[in-house]
Amino acid sequence: MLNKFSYRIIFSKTKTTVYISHLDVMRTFTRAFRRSSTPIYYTEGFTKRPLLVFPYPLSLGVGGENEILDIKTYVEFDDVNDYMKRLNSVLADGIEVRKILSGDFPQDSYAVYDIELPDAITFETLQRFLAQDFIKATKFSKKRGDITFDLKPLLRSVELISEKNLKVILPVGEVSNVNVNVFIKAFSDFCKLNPNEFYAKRIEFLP
Amino acid sequence: MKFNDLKKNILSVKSPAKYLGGEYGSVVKDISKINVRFAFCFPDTYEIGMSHLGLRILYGLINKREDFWCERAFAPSEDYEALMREQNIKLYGLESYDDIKDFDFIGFTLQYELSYTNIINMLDLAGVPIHAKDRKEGDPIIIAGGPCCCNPEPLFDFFDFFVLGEGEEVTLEILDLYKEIKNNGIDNLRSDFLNAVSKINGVYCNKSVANDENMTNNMCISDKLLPEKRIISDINSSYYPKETIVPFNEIVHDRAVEEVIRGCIRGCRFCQAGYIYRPYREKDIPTIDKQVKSLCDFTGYETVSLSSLSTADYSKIEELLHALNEYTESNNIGMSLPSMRIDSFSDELIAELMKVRKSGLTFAPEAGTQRLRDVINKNISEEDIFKACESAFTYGISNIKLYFMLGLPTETDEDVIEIAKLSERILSLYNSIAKSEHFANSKPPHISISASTFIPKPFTPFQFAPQASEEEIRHKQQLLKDAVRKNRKIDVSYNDYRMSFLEAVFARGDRKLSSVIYTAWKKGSKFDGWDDHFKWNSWVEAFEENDINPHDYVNREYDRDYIFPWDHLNFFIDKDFLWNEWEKAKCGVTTPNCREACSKCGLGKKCNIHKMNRCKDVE
Repeated sequence: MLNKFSYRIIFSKTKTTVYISHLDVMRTFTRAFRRSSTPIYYTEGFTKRPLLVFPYPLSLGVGGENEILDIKTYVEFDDVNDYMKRLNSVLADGIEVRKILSGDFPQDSYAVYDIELPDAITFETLQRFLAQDFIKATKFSKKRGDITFDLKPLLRSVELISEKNLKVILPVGEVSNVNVNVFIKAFSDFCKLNPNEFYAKRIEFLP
Repeated sequence: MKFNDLKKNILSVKSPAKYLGGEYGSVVKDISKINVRFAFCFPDTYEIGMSHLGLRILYGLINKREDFWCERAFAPSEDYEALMREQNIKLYGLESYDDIKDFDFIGFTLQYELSYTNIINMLDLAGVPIHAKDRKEGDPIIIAGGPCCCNPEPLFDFFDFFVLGEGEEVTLEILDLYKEIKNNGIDNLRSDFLNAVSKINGVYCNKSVANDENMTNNMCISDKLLPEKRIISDINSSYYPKETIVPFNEIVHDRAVEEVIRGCIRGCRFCQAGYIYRPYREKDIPTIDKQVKSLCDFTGYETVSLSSLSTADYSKIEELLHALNEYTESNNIGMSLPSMRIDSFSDELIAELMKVRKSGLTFAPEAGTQRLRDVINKNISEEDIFKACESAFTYGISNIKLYFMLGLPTETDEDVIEIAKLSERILSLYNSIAKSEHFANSKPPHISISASTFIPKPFTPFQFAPQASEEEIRHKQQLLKDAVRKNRKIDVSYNDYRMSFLEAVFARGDRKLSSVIYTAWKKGSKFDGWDDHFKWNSWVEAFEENDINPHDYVNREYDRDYIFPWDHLNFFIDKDFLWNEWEKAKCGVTTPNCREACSKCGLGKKCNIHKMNRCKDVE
């Protein structure tokens, strides 16, 4: 068995790439690794695929400032910054690698989102939303269809940082996870706004 | 439009990224350095248009020029069209997001007849006058190219001119001429340019042929210069894109495409591509090798397709595959070989195919009996079919898809029933192989028969033939269905006869049909090739309102002297040759392929097969 080296790629997802699916993001990286001749580790088996791990995939329509992709390579990079430049030169406009870290990483538990609202709302509206006993939210399950649940215990923090921008902290990961679109749907229903006109981006992860 | 305006509500549509550009390999330029702006319009969805090689060639070719900028536009799906109309978004170029109505050129590619209403719809979405006669100075020049330009008459009212044949050279000639006139002053740019452009070889201009409304068939040709199709001078040195676009979302053919042959030696009598793309030309191995490497290196695609009308006809196919193998294997790249003829199906080729595709194989016998295969000059025998299926089965393939046509000239009920019997014989072949080879865990075999309706197309020997009537086709479909009903390992699919009928009408039609297309579009027709969009009633009404009987175009046999709406366009195919082929077809006499013997199709010195044969002799 060959030695493998672990790297964490921190990248942003802006412009058109906000509107591509997670599968498209994976395809984009797979091809960029081929273009840059990255000595990436391929899975064993009949159809070989590069082993890409996105611990917290983003939904279509949500942007990201510091997204995470974990890869393994057969060869250690001599100069990570040099490699980062090479990779960035073959990535589609909108996806940009900002940092490459090496080693193993602990799981994160929360993510911070910035949500731009279609219309100004007041502090009181947000207060009323948060003061509900039961914050009704719906998520879709392939097995069980639409499931209604209470969002309230899952909201770590919701702040109005300008009259059209919310800062929201939601759980991510295997233990507990809330898709930001579920929050947007719940909040837009409450304010009677069009959820398709909300622009969300993930800013960072918290332990 | 700005990106921030476009993204408003874009989350309400499916696959929004296809309306936002920004893909790897798309070309964004500094507008202040641009002299001529060109919008390449594909009258179907993004997924289909981006799979089209011609778009990639012309896009790269135009953008290589510093003073030109080519952008793309596709037919929006229903959901996005609704959003565009509601928010008054005009059809825009995917690179700059600027309205294409402000470009110098809007160029459409005519790939199939059932996309014609999409052209009208896209012109409407762009906000330009739909009819050429309504356009004024300042409006873009609207042109078309592609295979359907071999009979562009049904679209005559909508285009400023058509470009016949291969676009690699003539496109730049047209744009250069335009630039020259534009630099001399823009007061009468449009009319000056349209007057001048008809002199370019390959341009079929609204003005280059007398435009008398009553002359639909017997067109008077004023200056006896027949517009002729362009043929590029050298396929090896001709432009081929390497820095091509890699879409974000999955498209129909999501792989690198290397064209290895243009034209076809076979002469199947129903196949329009086999005639209008002549002469037959092969790229040489070093060129292919170089182009494949740079394409794959740039795009990062994991599959490369060696494309042509019949790739196994490449004279040194094994040598070519060996040459490419070293690179593709060391880079984990699969090779796909579409359009393989049954008679060329060697073990070596199937071994190559199996590296990429493991599921099933598709063959096109086209007809069920040897007699009918001889009529259409398919030149394959039942033995060829069995041999191909045998090698496929031995390699573990158990799904076979077979393409047939119904309604071919001289077809009898027996020919149709034989389709079913042939499929059953293939199944028993599988069983005998499975027994002798001891297939342990093999999946049960399955045969899918796809039976489309024959369409008599211009510039083929069958241009003289009628299309079968709806009753005949329905009878034959039922006959085939009944013949395979007992066998659950065979299934049959058909296309809608009415679509094939319309395709035939517009393939063969004349100028009078422009008004029908316009009326049908007004009644909501678009995406006519899509089952879920097809509106037959709007077509029936459109024909009635314009007092045109569509059956006049397709359901009769024509004699030698009949003047077709496309007879004044020179595609270097001799009409007498086509007539002789038609007579031979009716007697079931085959014609050898171009390599075996020259059948004097009319190309004359433009054909270089003789030259190639000599090379072969030297070896």
